[in-house]
Amino acid sequence: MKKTLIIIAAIALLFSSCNADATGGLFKTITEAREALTIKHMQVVGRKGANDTLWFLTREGLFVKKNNATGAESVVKSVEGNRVQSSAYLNDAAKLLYKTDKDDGSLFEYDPATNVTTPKAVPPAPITDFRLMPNGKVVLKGAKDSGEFWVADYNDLNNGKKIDAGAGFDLYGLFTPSDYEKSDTSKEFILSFVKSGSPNEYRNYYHDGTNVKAMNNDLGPIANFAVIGTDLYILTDEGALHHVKTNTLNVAVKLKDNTVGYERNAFFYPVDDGTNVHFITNPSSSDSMSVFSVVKADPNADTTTVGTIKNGYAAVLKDTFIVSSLKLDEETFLVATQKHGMYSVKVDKNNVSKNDDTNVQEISKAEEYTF
Amino acid sequence: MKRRLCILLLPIALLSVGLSADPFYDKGNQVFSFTIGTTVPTFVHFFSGNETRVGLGVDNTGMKVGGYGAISYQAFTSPYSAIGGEIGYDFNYVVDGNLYTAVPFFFKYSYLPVQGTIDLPISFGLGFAYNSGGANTSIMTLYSNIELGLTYYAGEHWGFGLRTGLWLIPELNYRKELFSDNALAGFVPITLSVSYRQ
Repeated sequence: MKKTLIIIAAIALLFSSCNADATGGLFKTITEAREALTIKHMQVVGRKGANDTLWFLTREGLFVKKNNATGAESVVKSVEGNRVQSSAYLNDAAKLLYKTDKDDGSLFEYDPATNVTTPKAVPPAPITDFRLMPNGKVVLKGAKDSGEFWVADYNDLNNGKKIDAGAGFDLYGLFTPSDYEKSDTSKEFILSFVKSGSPNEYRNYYHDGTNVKAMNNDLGPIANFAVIGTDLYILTDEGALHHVKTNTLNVAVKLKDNTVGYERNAFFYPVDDGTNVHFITNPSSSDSMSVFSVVKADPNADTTTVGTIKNGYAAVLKDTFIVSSLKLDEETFLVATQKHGMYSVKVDKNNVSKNDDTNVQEISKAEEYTF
Repeated sequence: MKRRLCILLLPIALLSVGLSADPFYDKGNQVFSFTIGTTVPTFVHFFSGNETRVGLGVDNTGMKVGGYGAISYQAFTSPYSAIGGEIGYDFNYVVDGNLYTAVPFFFKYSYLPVQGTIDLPISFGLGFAYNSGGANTSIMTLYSNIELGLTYYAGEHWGFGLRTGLWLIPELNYRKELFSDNALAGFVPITLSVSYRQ
């Protein structure tokens, strides 16, 4: 009888310990769940200035909020066959660009001063498609399987800088840093191309604001990247953090492996405390956030750490899917989520990697953000 | 007062009638049941901080009323006691749109003080449940329940019944960082059943 009870207890213990992959309790996650909001954010497009005109894109279309005290107004409504897919606020020109899924010409310029929308002509063949970047650059795609692409200014689409990724390469992703702030200062982005195979082959290029430069191709699928001076930090889908110098783009040093997965264009927000740079991330395969901390003076020294964060700002954001973000100042940013609205977050840069309430100074309620 | 007394005395009278009457079942009789109904998430208790969340929806259990279906088999080991097992599937939508599911499979002991045209089984279950929810979280847990049923047999074999009770699902994580998330969840099932006995 005693032996039977011991066997039953052993089996029970074995079965009750199978939550190995989770980073949070099942019932904890469920009890903390929040209802999805009707507003479905797609992009925080840009801001004219502090408490002065914020543009954002939702499934319903483009909206503007003139200041913290006023409500959002619709600027462009998304309708069937002409849905706004992406947008750019041009800080220097004080104009808005947006791309829709309309078949016959889908790039438009909107002037907030006159409320006039003007279609912009996209170059004809061999151009087959294009993407609009948040800073106003346009990535044009050549003929199918040609591997030819161009990066052009929005006002000079016929004279873009050509990228020859190679036959069979198609666009994998375009990566804008999560601390994107303004079109005239946040100019860098990464273009990644993929050729299907076993395994897939990647070609990566870095746009430094002026030129397009080839970079390391062995990173695998990129999730996102950040620019800190002349250092690039690149996060992959599989949770590996790499360091690349802008003057040796072909050399990548792996700093840390986080054993969680990330979506393409994942949230990867850098916070600089002077000595360390911390990267706030929101893994897709986890119900907690992760923060990488890198020593700025010597990123390649084996000192990078990664910690799991569930409290403070993470208590609000960990269960959301962050689709876009916008830097407001050194410690403050906006995050737009797919189902749970938009938040303004003011972190404490000295405690941002801590798993307690000291990591945040202020975080708004959903849709009660300030800018 | 008189009315309350009657309500209190009724089950006692039923029990005594059931116990005093000749038993309907013999050792070896069997009952197959198909069950379908709803489950009401009732509470989640977190051992850490001694916090209990009660009720449906946001800031409570986080779940909505769900559904449950099961099949069970029991064989009588004496005229009043039956043992067997049940396997079922439960689902409850979480407020964020994710789905909580549980597949309980357990040993079941039933005591039938009242039996014949009307069966009144009091059942205890003990086993395991495979639970899964949002954010790629799934866990195998212990599972226990206590249920009270009432089954009406219009003929010799087929019966229709109603059951309710309480499920207890403890979540015991062995990883240190998840200790604070250890919890006990309670659900109240309200189900209809079709039973075949022989």
